[in-house]
Amino acid sequence: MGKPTDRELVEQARTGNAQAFGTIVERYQKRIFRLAYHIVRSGAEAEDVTQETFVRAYQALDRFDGRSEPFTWLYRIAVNLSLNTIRSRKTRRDAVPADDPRVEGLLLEQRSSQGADPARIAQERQIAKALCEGIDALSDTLRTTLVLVCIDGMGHEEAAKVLDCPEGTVAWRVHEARRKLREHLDKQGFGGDTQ
Amino acid sequence: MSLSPENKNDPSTKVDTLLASLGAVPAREDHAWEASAEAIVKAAQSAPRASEETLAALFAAPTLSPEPGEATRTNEAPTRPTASAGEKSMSQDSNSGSSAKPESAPMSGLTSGPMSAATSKRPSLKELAARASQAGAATKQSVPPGALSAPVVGKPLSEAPPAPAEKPARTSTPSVAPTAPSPVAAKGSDSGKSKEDSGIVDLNAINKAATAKQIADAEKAKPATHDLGDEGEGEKNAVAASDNKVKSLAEAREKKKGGGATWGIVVAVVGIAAAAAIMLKGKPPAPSPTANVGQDKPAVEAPAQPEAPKLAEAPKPTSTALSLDSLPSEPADAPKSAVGGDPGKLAAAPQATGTTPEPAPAATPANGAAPVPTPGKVGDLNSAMAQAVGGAGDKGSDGTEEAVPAAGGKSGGNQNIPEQPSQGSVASAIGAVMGGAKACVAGADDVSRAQVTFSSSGAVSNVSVTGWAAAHGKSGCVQAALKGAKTGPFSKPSFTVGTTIRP
Repeated sequence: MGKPTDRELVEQARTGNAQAFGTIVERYQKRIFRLAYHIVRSGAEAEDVTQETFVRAYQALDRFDGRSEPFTWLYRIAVNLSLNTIRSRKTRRDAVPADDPRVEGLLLEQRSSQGADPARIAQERQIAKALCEGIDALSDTLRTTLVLVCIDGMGHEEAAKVLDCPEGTVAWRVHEARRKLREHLDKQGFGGDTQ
Repeated sequence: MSLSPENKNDPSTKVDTLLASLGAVPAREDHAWEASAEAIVKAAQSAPRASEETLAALFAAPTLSPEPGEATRTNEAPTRPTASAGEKSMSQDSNSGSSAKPESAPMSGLTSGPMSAATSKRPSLKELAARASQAGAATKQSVPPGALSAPVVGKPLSEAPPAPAEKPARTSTPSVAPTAPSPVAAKGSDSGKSKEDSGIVDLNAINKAATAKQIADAEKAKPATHDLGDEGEGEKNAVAASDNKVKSLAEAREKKKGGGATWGIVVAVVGIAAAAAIMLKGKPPAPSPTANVGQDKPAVEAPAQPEAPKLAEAPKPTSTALSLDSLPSEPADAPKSAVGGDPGKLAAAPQATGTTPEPAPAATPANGAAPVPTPGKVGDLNSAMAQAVGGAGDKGSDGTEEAVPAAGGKSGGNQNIPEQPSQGSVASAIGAVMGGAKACVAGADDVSRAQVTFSSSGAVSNVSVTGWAAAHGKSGCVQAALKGAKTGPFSKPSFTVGTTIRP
């Protein structure tokens, strides 16, 4: 009850209330960072994207017309900035390092829910690495949609707003991305019957 | 999000589970986030304002190239106008032309395929029309009201030497005439309204000015029109043909006419003979109406087969005349024996009358006998059909229990229980309790994740909570909320699904 809504915070920030904007930043910076991180696959670049997202949003607070949720608005900026970052690169990153933070994060999740079993962790590490490779091999379109829906937990409707496409397109992309990931895992020997 | 043993073999579930596990925010200390937030706010306040174009580009929809499959789907939209354009022209062709649109001709010109063929027709039509109008008195343009279709196709034919044997051809063509001429007629009136110089307008004018003699001549030419249309692609071929082609076609038509009439007569005679043969053969087993029913299929597939009487013998063992209740019980075998020509088994079926009803699979050849008619309501087709498909109607005196697994085979009646719950049912089940779970994490600054395990009964057997809720002691609240989820039963021992709880 005591916490202001996003819209209220945006309204306050519009009037020059920096604290309100700071609250928005605190509320969403983790998610924006995670989104950027999974798209650009670099912690440093994800930080840049996160900061840039909020800076641009602050500069364009008067553009926010309130028709959509503020976080949708922020997500769209973050996606655009992340894609810009990827496209400005000269080389494509294909290899997933062994200590990829995504893998570590996934293993952390696994451990927190099922305890530490070294053999199992080693196996899960391989699967996680294969999964990250599969995600990285996806096109920007599929990866972005997959990150929004399957990793960030965004609904199809919200993702469709962020990407400005029909919900059906989002659903199709997610389905396609998952299919490709399954294929990739199968090729890597992590198919259903091998586990 | 862990891979529970029962889900490990499901690649789809595994991918989902792993993806959800990836949602963890890269590890950082809280103070690092706070410092980062402060830095961001300061940067936002001090940063030079970006240009409007830059901001507009950032707020615009992300430019993501469509995927291959997605591209084909999105391409459907552009193709629709083309198709609709095509449809319009087609409808204009098929309609009487009274509602023809002025731009019908341009549209047809834009479209490819058939329309390009239409464009290629025009010169020849024009030539034909000009020739017809020049020929004037010598030729026969008339368009009888009933055969308005004649003008376009009839014209070239009229130029050909008048067919000597119109009358027989005329008698044989009526059945074909309605198909070919109608588009032609529509086209003619269409084009006339659109004032295209396709030549059809001239024809109409000529038709109006036609003399009685010309009309009579055109009458002679009419059968030729039908024949030409009959040869397929009616207007296309006929109109696109040059004068020489038209003449050759007319000659060919003349040759064909005699043959067509002969063939028509031959076919009619053969048909009548076949019908008579069927009638004659069908009469002997006629004593009971059921026999006729059983005989229908063999009669159609092999009219002169001797199996028909044997099939009719099948019901004999029954004490009374064949009744409808004997039919539904053997829907699977009856057609087989009728087609496969093994009436012996079919004949044996009724001999078992009086035994207990058996489920459908029991009627397999392994048993050596066809299924026995159930002692249901005699003549009740609905109940008989229900029994035939193994439905509730099988509730016989002693076959009640067996009839149910019969449809499910070895599954032991689990036919309707899916191996695992559908995504929709799981989503709705979790969605129903998500409100309560969200209430637990209200005010959270990060998402929480829960792994919900459903038992085979559909009830939640376990909930594992991670993320913000777990870190802030809200696991119990979330678990309590999510344990209320309920989905339909399924055959797997359990099914685990991950969900993200956003504040």
